[in-house]
Amino acid sequence: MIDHTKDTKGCLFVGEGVTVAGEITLPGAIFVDGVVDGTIEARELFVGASGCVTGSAKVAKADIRGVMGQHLEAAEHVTLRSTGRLEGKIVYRSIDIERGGIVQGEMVCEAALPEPAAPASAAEAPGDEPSPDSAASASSDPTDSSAAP
Amino acid sequence: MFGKRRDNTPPATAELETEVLPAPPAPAPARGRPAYFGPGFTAEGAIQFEGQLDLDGQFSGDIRAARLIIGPTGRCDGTVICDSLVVKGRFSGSASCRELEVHTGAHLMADVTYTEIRVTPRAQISGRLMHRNR
Repeated sequence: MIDHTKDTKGCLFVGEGVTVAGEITLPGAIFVDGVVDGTIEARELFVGASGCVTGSAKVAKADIRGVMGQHLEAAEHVTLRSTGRLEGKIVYRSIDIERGGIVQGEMVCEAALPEPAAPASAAEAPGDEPSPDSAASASSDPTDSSAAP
Repeated sequence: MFGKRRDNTPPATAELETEVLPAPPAPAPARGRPAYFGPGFTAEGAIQFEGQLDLDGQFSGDIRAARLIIGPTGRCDGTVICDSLVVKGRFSGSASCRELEVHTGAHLMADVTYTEIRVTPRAQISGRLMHRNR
């Protein structure tokens, strides 16, 4: 899974059989084939088929083949592979779930689509504005009411 | 070690199990022609159908069917119980199904209990997803 020939600057590899606990912040990608218990803040998160992350992760992109638990926040994209499992709260912009992937939890999509009706209501709005005539009649009303008593 | 760890991982979503819809009917071959509700169709109430339901119009209420396909122009709001649920348009409410497919451009704001899920990119899902083993 891991290609060590690539530039690995700013990256962390948690091999199978390794358990890491605590707070992890890194500028690059984190590859988890072991167990991570804690908080992760990285650009990319890769959880291998044998990997397990418990805690929270705040990343731009996530690619899950193993287990990701409790809280995932991805500013860009989440890919859940067929062997993957996502639990807890997932905040994302776009997501791709392969057949076989399991999601157990609450999903929150940050990319809110503009409502299709929005342009139509915006077009109606100018028509609803009070016309100069109605404004004039409105201003004449107080004089009438003051004259009445 | 990891297998054991997975089993022991406490589900952080235990409270999600509170409101669970009944399990969808066992998959049966859809009989006859699918029922089609085209664009412009608007209705509310309850639908029970043994076959496939193609919804391109608007419906609010309860649907029980073998297969429900909410087309790109379709909007459904309510409770759906079916074997297979395909969302290409908008669905809100709650659903129980065996197979859930959410396509590109779909907008799902619902609590769904499912056995198998597939989501293509640029589908929007907000709500609680609960996995049920079959």
